[in-house]
Amino acid sequence: MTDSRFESCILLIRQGNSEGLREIYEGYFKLIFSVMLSVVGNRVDAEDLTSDFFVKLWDKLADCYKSGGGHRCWLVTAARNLARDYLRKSRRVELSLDEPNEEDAPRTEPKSGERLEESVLENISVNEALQTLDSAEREIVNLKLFAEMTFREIAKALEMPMGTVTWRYRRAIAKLRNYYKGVQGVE
Amino acid sequence: MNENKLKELYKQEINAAAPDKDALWRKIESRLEPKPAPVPAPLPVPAKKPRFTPALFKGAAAVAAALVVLVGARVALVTSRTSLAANDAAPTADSSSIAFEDMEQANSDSAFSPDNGIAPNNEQSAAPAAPSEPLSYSDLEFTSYSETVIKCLGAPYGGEYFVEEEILRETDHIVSATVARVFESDDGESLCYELCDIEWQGEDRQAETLVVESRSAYPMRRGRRYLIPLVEGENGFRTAFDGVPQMEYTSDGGLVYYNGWSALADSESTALLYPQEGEEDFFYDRMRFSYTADIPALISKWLSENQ
Repeated sequence: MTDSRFESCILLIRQGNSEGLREIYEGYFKLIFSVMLSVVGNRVDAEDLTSDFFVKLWDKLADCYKSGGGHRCWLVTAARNLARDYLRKSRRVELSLDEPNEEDAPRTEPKSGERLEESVLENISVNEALQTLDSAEREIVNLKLFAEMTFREIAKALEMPMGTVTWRYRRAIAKLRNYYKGVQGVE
Repeated sequence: MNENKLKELYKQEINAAAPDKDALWRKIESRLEPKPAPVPAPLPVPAKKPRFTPALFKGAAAVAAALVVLVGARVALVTSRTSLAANDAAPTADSSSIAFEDMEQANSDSAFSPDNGIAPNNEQSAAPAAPSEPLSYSDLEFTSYSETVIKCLGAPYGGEYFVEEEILRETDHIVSATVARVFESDDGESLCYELCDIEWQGEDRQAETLVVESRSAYPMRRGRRYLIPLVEGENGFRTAFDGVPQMEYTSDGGLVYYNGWSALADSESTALLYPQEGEEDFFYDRMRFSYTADIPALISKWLSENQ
């Protein structure tokens, strides 16, 4: 979707026409889901947050959009902010992109007791792959491999120096390679 | 497994984990609250059209006559053209093949021990004048060697955006050092450079050797001396920015650097053609060379960015 097409959809949303939201949803719901998954680390929460994101886009976010900065970066930044706010409110481990710490260690327990059954049914493969990475690496890899953003766009979206982005990306790729070789036997 | 295969697998995983598109949309749609219809903007009141009168016709005729007089006059247009001097001159030597002279010191597989014959770049009173025409990298004088340059295969070109202030903010140290040894990292993803003869710029620190990791597509060469911004992390040292060639000293006291390092700018620098490393290398013709590059200014800027 081009920036101009995106702006047309935003205009429709502001006018109360849900077709604008539907078109943005059709184009980017997987990207938003992948961003949520890379931040919160589990499929159930990621799906709920994806839903929340598009509702929020309808309610408020569309009014905040300003053209000129690239709509994909804007979507990623907004989605990421929503996910991080969710984690803070849930009193989970505070994300720090500056220094990976022990709290970024892989999580194997479900987030809440109410979702224990759902957590068990999650896609174990995705969780295992992502859990080899720390939080910053998960986000960067997702934006590079799935969203196919440039390092510059990623640095802007994550508010991180370019050198740090590329460095962490390379380290994350090495970890994923080792994971796929060891678990799935992929050479 | 190459990165494209990894990308394919990762995308498959995410696509498999993604929720059903239509089911999720129904869930979202059910939560959308109708928005109040936008208030239409009031229609502009059209201005009254002027009636056509004989007086109006006479006035229009007078204006038209005046215009005819003006259009009949000749107007001289002066254009100026400025010639773009930088980077346009053909290289004076074949930049695709770099010939090195044999080193005075013996080459061996052991760590390199450089001499100290490299003149510091800040001796401005004795510095020769930089050539006025663009140079080729192969024209410069370096401590030479005859072994193959080790390159970091697969490293990207041009995917990083150079912002001097951002790089300096991230930089923990700036060193002048000689590359004693080059080897691959344990994971094979980057190159490691063992540095010796280290001068820590702007800080009082000592180290006989240092290992620096780098993912740059522009290799540093064994036996050469560089001015390198570094980041110090829990896993050791790495180069602060890999998107452009590292700043490199020549054996006669000059400095080769990417023209984005504005703090180094001086009126005596000249354009330099660096060896092009590949089709996607867009930095090879954005290099400068100078005997009077303002390294103290770069160090001062780095220190001020990190106060």
